[in-house]
Amino acid sequence: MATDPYSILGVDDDAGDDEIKRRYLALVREFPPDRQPERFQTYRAAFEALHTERQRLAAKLLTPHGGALMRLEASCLPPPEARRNGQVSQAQVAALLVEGIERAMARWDETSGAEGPA
Amino acid sequence: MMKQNPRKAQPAVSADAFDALAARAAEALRLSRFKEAIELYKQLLKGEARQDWRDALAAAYVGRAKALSAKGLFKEAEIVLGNAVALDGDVKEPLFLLSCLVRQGQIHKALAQALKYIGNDALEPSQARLLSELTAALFLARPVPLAAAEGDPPARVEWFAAANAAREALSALTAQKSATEIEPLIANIPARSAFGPVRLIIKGLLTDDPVKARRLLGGVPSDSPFGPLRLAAEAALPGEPAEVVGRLSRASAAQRAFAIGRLGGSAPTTPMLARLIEADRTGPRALFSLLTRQAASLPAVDVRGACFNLLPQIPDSIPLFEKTFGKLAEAEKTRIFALGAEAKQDWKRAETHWRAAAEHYANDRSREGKLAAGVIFRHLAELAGKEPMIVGDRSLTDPVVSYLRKGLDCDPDYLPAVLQLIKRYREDGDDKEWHVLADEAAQRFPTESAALLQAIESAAARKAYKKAAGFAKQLLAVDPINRTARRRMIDLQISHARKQMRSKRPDLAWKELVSAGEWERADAPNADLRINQALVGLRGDLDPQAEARLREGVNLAGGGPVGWFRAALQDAMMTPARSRHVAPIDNELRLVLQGVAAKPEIDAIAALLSEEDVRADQKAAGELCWKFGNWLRKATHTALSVAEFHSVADAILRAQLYDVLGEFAVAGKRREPNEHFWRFYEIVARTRNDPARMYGAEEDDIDEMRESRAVVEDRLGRSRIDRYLDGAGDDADSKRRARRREAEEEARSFDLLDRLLESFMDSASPQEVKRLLNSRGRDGAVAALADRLGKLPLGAEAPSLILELVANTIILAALGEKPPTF
Repeated sequence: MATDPYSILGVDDDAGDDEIKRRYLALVREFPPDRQPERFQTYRAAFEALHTERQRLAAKLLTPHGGALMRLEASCLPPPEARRNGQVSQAQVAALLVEGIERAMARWDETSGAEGPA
Repeated sequence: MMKQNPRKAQPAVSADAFDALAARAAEALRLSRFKEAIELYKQLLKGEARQDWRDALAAAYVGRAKALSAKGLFKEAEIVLGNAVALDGDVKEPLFLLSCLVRQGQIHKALAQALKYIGNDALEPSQARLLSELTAALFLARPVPLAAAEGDPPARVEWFAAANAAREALSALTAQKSATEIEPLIANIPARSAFGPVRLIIKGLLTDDPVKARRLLGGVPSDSPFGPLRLAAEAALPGEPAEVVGRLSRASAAQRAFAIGRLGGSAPTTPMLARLIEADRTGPRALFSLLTRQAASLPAVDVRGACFNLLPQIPDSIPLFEKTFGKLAEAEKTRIFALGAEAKQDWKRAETHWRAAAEHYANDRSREGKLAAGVIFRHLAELAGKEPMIVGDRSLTDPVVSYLRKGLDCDPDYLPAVLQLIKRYREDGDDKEWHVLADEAAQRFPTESAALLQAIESAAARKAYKKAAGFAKQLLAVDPINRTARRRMIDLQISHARKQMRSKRPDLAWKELVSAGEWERADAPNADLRINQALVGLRGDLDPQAEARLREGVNLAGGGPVGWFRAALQDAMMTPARSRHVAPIDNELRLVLQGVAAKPEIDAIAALLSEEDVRADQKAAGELCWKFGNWLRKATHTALSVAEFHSVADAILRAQLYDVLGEFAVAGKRREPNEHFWRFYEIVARTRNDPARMYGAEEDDIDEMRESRAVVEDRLGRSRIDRYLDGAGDDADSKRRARRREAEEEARSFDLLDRLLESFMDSASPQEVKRLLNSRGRDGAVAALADRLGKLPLGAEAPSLILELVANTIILAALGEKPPTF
């Protein structure tokens, strides 16, 4: 999840009280706290960081947040309709499996003391 | 002539020499001198092919291989391990061999080795499970044709079948076959086989429901060999753009490549996404450079914003930023420097830049400028509360107070800051400022409960009960069910009634308490009010129902010893010291004190003794506690555990009943002689909670206690002992001692300041200080003077903050703004 409260709520940097509240309530309706407590906590924290004018000002002045970068990266994402069933190659799968094997072996080395004489 | 092999020329070794050699070999192996052990066992085996020497040689080879592997020499380790295999054909440590091969990148060779062990029941189960999972991942990474041979054990045959099914399903996925084609293939993978994770991952990728997908993927442990594939599949799940980007940023390069491919990697924008993420991971400079180079092809506002946000980390890029995006305002520049200094924890610079930024914003004179300055000053106040290097105005004023004040000057309508400043004034004991600000807050925020509550507290502290009542009425008009305000008003009027009683005006006290009844809610009757009304009624002979009212109040307070203790306490607080209680209280107390104290009763009384107004009237509480001493003493026979006794001990200490505490400790020690805390309480009781009174033997006992395992592991218990040693107990004696210590420390600091000031004033004239001011400016003059002060004999022992304070006072004195004293 992003750390920038604007990106988390999905609102623009210049959003006002009403828009932020509306968006927050919509997200809470979509992800109610009893069903997705972690998500709700993230939205709640983002809302609390922005829900007054002074808090928004503090967020803008005191924290070098990555909202703009996040928006840039999001703008480079393929359109939603292209995001299902995109292609992955056997080579990509193999690279991930080798990564997993190497990590599992490194963990085994650490726990078994294989990295040095017993 | 042929050269003779020197080994063959060696004479036959005697039996004694063999024994000596065997002993040396065993010693070398024990001491991990593997090379030497290998040579010695080889010599021994030449003489006699004993099995135990053969095993020892294999162990020496394995040890040597591990030593080589630890140095990163995996190829050499593999060769040495091969020598161990050659001895009897068995691989001694298959996972270790696999590790050497994987680390050399020899995946095919590792797979070939690993496949030998599938279905081998000679391995212990945990090793066999890990080996099976690793082999599964190795096989899917570099698939080879697999067919079970005739006579293979059933476990091996099943494993091969699962392997082929998993390979087929994965191939269908990478060949972009449809879900309906892939699903039957997944069904052929047994869920409980080593290939079960592949089944979950493919199912997770195929489902349209992200919650279900997360649940399926969550079934694959992230530390399994399939963990990275699972994380990559998770990163590829649909979601809000910010969420997807966040997942991609946290993913490894291989995971990201997979996820971006799955999300539609053929789109023209995805290479840029991968570059942005990669540059972000590399560092701010790489990202800044990429963004400025690609400014034309990306949304301009966000490119500027992203670059701007990087500047605190790379402030030397400000000129390039201005060249690309245009000039920055001075306020923005100073803010960037401040954020950069803060990130580096350079607090002095951060403070200077933040102050400058705040000044710039404040000078803007717009509403937003003022609010921004307020935000920055409040941020400085927060930093000053955490970082001693943030010094504020270098005056004696607390920097937190100073910055909160400045924040309010810029933004006076921000209530949380007002409340914070009020709290700070109260903590600092600056009553004058507290009262002024509390009154101002009530005027500025007449409909805010929090502000009005502060005004009530402030008025009550000044004993301005009428004023407090006025604020309370104002508050209840805004918030009719505010329990705190109602409770506070009843307490205040009870206090006022007590005052009237001490002035021998029961009629006025009665009137006060009747009017206090107006604050009471029918559903929340107040025990103290009932008791005090009864007490005034009884003592002034004003109320025929007084005794019934008293009993009602006692019942509301919990009845029994607790209720009567409360009534007696209220009576003691109302009447002059040493006067007798009213008859019903005296009689009932006598009766209830005949019983034995139970733990909940002692706890309730401890809580009562902690209430603020009771703490303020130590005399009333002390005398009553003394009376309760005998009642408590009877409870020493109750078998309380130490854990149960801690809160009882707190109550006893608060009442300063040290003899009673000692008796509890002795009785406890008799029951549990090995429990440290009984000895601790014995010491606390004997020293009357003053560590300075400990004998040497007691100090030794306390030291031993603190070192003991039981106390080291009991954090709260240890802090109890530490509080005693620091003299920071909760009782009146400890508080008195702490106050005395604080006063002594303060006096010492002021003494040092004054002596420093005096010694400097003897050697420098005001004219000299003024010249320094003119030539170096205020900050420069402070620094120069602090430097000179530090060179004085007294200055050497003073911290730099003190030197700067003195320097500042010298300047103010030279300018005639302040007398040269502290």
